[in-house]
Amino acid sequence: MNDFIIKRKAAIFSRFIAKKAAILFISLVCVFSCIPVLILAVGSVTGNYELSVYLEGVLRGQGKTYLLLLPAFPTFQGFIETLFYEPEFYVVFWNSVKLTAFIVAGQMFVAVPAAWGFSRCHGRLASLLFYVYTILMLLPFQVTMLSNYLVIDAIGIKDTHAAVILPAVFSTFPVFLIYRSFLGVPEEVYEAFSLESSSRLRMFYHVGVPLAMPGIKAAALLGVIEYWNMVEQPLLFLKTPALWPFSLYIPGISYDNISYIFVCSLIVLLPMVLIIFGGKEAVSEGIGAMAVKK
Amino acid sequence: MRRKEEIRRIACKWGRHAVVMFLSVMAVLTLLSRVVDSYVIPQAAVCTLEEMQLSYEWKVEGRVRTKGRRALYCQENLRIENVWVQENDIVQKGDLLFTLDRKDLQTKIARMEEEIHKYDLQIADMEHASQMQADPQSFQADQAAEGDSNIPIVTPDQANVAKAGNFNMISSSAGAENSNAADIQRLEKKQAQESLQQLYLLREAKGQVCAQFAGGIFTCAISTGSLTSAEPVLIVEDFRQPFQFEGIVGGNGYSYAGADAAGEEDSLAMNESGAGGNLSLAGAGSPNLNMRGNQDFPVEEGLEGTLEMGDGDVVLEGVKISKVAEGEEGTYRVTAELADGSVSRTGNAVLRFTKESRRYRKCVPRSALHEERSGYYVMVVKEEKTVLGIKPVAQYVPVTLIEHNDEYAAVEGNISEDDKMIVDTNKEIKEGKRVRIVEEWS
Repeated sequence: MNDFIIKRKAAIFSRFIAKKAAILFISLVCVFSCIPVLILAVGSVTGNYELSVYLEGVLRGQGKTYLLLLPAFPTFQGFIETLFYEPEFYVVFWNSVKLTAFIVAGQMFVAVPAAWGFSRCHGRLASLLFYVYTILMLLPFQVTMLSNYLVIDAIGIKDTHAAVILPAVFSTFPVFLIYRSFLGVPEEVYEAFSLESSSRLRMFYHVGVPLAMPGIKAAALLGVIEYWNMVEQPLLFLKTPALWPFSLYIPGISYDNISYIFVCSLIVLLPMVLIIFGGKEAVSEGIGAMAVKK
Repeated sequence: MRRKEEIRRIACKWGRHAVVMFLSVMAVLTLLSRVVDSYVIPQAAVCTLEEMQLSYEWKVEGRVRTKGRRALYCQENLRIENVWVQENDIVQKGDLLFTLDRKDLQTKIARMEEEIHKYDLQIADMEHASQMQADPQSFQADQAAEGDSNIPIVTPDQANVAKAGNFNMISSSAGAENSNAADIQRLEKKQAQESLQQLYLLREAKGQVCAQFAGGIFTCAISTGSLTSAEPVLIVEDFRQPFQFEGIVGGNGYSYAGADAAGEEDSLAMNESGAGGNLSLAGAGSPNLNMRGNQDFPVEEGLEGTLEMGDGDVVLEGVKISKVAEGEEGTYRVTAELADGSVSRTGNAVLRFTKESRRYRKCVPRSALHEERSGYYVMVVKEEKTVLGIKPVAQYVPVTLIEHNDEYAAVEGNISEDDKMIVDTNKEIKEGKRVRIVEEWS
């Protein structure tokens, strides 16, 4: 009896230890993953000279580079210069906002009906089409880049924001994500609505969209995160500097602009932090909806 | 659980609000940064390339004088009461030059009169002595007739022949000496009388000496209270004579017209050999003036220039240099004769010469040209695609300086006629930075 109690206590203790160890491990991973953000925050309040000393190895290609932990002489000079003396920063910032907003809005406009369609059609052709769609989703941008470029060049929208927005609007990932949300809605709900109205459009608007909203929100938020930081598409399609998003503008690191780089990076990080903070529940719900089996 | 849900809901709501607030703040800061940018962006005045000949202006500072001058003398040892003119003054005929002390003049007259009287007496004495020596018997008779019994009467038979002969010879020699001395006294008296006449004239003029002709005072050797001497009291330039310009170039008084302006920017040496610096004379024998660098400009006889007198109220075109003579310490004296009637007075003047270079296709204002260790460069404004759109941006363009005057420089380099070069800015401009064009330089 005593042995049993002792073994049981030992098992409970070992589980407790394992749980704590797991938490500690995960916490450490979280801390390490946050180090770049921490360095960014510290670097933004550090003077140019101090940064150049810390990051000599990066700047000169030789010498040592030290981890920024605390600035010896904290300063907000970088913020002042960036926010008040660099109108270029705002141009690229609003370009990023514009591109992201139009892409996500376009995606919602296209992906939600498309996902609804796929979820309501159960024929072989629909299944085949969805299969092809899924394959397209798996293709990375580098594969479709050339064909995208040729089409954009052919329709004459190269070096315009439309060249970045249009291909992204027809992205397959939100369709797939929202499709899974529509599938999660029980068939009985649609049947019950059919008793009230025979309009498919009303069913889509009044039943499908509200019930699949977590998936739609998740698709939108993931879209925002993805396109806020996009680099390859603007790099390929935008040649005019006035059209660049911030990802292309933040120039090469040098002694003169090192503080500026840190501040810019921190500022463009802020909206993402706020969006994730406000929409993390929607993202987790939406992604959870993908696990629903058909 | 319910409380947790509530916290999540509030967090989501505040998260959304924070995003909206962030974007609003960024919108305000966008406007603010544009306002700040309009104040802090360098403002530049620009110009374009010009095709032109560079003109070099030289000036010789000097004075317009007459070719002939007259000296004015005065009786010696007269005290000057007042001098009404000074050097370089212009006087007209009848203008008062100086005044003599009238008391001193009167004293001098009185003394001169006494002197003349003294001459009279001396001459009378000498004549008397001469007469007596020439005819002693009649002289004695005369003396006797006058009642002088002390004088012995000598008859011819009382003297022997030898003695008589010897006496006659001595008395005739003494008589000749007295006669010569009397003549000298008469001459001196005559001179004294002439001087006295002049003193009378001065007294009649109340001691005032006036100009007899229009002219300019060249030198004035007298001052108030001084005494006149044998030297001329005044040397006056006679305006009835032809005029000429006299000036000096070289040495300390070098007179490149652009020297004042160029002095501020002496960093702009003229040629690559580093021969830049001040004006120098080319050779000992030839009056050639080398402007800084490779631009030669000879000042030689026959060269035509423009003469400016006073404050520019007299301007004469086509004045030719008539003579260039080597002076002291590397200077050259330049003389230019002026046409009759072209000038009516003397005064300070500047003789300017202009020489033009060959025609250059790329000339920029001197203020657009900058110098650094590796050479010269200009800052060109070019329209560039920037993040803010197509904006003027400063670009560094190295150039080769060919030659320059005080305003423009002829250059060679990778600049075209359409390029706008920065001439003036309110702030330091860096390569690749935006500038705001505020005016076209002219």
